[in-house]
Amino acid sequence: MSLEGIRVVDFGWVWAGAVPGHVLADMGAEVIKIETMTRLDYMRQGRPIVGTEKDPEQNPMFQNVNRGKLSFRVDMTKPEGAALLLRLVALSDVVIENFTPGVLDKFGLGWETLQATRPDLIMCSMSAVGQEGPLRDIRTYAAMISALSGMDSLAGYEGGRVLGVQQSYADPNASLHAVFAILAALWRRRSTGEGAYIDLSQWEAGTNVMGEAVIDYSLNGRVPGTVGTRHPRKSPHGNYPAAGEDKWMAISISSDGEWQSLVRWLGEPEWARGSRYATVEGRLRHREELDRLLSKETSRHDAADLEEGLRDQGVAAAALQNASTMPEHPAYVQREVFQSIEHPVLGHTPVYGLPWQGNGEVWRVPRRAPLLGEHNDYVLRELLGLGAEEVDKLCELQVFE
Amino acid sequence: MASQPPFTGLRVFEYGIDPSIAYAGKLFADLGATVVKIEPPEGDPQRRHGPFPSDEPDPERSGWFLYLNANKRSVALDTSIAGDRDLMLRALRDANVLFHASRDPELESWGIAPDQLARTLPHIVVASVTPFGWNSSFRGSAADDLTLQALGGESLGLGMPGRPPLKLPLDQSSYQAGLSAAIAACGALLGGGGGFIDVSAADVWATFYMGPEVANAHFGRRKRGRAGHHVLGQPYPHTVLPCKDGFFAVQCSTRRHWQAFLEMVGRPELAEDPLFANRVRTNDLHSEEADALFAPWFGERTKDEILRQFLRFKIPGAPVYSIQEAAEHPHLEGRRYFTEVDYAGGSVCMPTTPYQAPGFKPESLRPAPRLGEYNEALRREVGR
Repeated sequence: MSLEGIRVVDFGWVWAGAVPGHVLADMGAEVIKIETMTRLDYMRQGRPIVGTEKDPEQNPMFQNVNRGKLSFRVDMTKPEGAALLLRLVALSDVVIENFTPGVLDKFGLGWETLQATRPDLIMCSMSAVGQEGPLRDIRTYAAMISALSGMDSLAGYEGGRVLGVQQSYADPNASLHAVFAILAALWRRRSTGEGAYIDLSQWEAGTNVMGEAVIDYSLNGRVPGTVGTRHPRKSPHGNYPAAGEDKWMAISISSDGEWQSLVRWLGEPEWARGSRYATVEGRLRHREELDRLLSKETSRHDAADLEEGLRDQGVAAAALQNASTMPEHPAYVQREVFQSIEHPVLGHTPVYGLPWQGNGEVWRVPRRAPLLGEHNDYVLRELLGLGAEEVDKLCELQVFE
Repeated sequence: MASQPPFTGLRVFEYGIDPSIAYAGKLFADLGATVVKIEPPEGDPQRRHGPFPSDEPDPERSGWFLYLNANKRSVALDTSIAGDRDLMLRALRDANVLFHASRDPELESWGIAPDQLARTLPHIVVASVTPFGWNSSFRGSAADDLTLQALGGESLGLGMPGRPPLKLPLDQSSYQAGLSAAIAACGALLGGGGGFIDVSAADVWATFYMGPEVANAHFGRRKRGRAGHHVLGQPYPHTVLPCKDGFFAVQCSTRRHWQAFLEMVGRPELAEDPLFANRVRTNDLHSEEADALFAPWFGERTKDEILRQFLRFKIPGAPVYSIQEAAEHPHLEGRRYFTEVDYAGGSVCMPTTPYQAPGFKPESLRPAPRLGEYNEALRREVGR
């Protein structure tokens, strides 16, 4: 495994903060999640699935974004807790955190202190807008990051009101940019021995994936509004109704030949013959009426038939999936994208794999997410070498609550 | 001593035309790798797609091409010709990573399919990026960002009920597939180099983006349908509200946020209002009525005035910035997120890297390479 021998102290929480640790664990690192009941990971909360009592072990999303990790339950607001964490960092290679700037400093666990105890440490802070600057204290969830990044301003029907990206897109996007930066730092450390403090901004990660719009503004002063599914060079290009309740079909035509294939599969309807839509210029010019006419055709067909039929014709087409239907799709089934683990409370629980195969092998989830504090013994006795007496004393002080 | 960029001395190649591997290569180039882009003789088709300065098409001035390919080198090779393939193979002997996105039906007969190259050149990391995976019965199927977001479960939740679903703006499938490929490749480098990485863009959506939702759905907790600028099943407010000069995003997930919000807008009495007795219900059934109560407060203020209030009351919220507002924001300027690149007789403002660390900010960016400008140098290098 690529990261065997690498130990990670993971303060990351909720979604954006949790993913980097799981990816490093997926690559073979030992990732220790730092947790406390007094500030329980939001992803451990929520309505229980089994029974009626609140239970930190029952959130299915948590099981996904924390798989492969160990859990060390410790209260870092107590000086004894912070002291243990400092000792743990001294034995570790990477620290991840996504607190509001300054939180770790408050408990004596800021970068300068950590680096003094471990000179080649790599630490990644991944706050909303970075550690410094006028907006550094902003409170955010993923939706605020898409608002800042410029993405929300494009999200809506063409020319309509801004709807915003009402999804957590910004979370994994920030996480994955953080993973890349951490891996880059590990690569450099191998040859130079140098650590790094990485100050990632989730906002910047969001704007990074808006590059072509930023450049267009810079070059031409153009400020895009809501764009819908319009494409500058492709038509038809949109989500069209299929037969049934809320069934939709994405169809994207990028050449005149593909258009002919689509028309052929639809049985050459009267309106589609002739020259009006034969060229991309014509299809772009008459886009709106074309979308209406095509919608009438597609709504007569089952989405799965459309997808299969059009795919066979070489047309880019896909039935819109949701979280319940995706695990059945053959593209995902054959690559074993959705796997499962046995969880002591939830039982059979779906966990996603990785979106790549290495040397033809499907990567498999090696270990379920930890129970809260499941690995305190390992951390305290094996890693930190504490004796039973010392542990008892710390327990009395409620360092582990 | 100044820190060197992390990938100093690393050689990365891109073969096959796709913005996904161009983004993967960009992530490496921005951190100091030498990145060589292998283009067909007529050039990457992205060169012919805008935005262009003053909207005048010119294959050496495409803005998107510039964004993804600054600081890289370009060689133009016709890989249908044995001599050019030979040059490519010789050049790859000194490489560390090859990002491969070609799905040309002739690849296997030419011996340059990604799995073949991984066997021929066992010391380099070959990372293939395709819509459905190289190892897939859909390997040759057509796809683009629109259809990948549809298959990946992103689109169905975006937009208004009763209207066609939307998609995330711009080519997000390429960005995400490229980002995953860069991670996988770097992981393989750390594992000792070599090997065949097979990234599927569809799988990127299904895992990192929709995987947690799939697990929820298994336990009967599927996210409900599209709700425009609201999100069903969340406590009110979780939306974007119109303000004097645009829109403002607000999300009060906790009771503290909600109470502070009501205090901020001067309506603390609404905490007792039956309309808000169950904020999830308010959000799902009465959001327009609720929005109307707060519309005047938001409508009288600009987004930056509102932001100051949100900062003061410590409530999650943010202005919906236009591309212009993001590109000119003093916060980002202060963090040196943008840099000026000489380009097309002028200069253009470009994002750099979303992270700061010694050696992680490119000191300067060269504009994207002219087509084939590295051909002669490459011939010299491999000929020696």
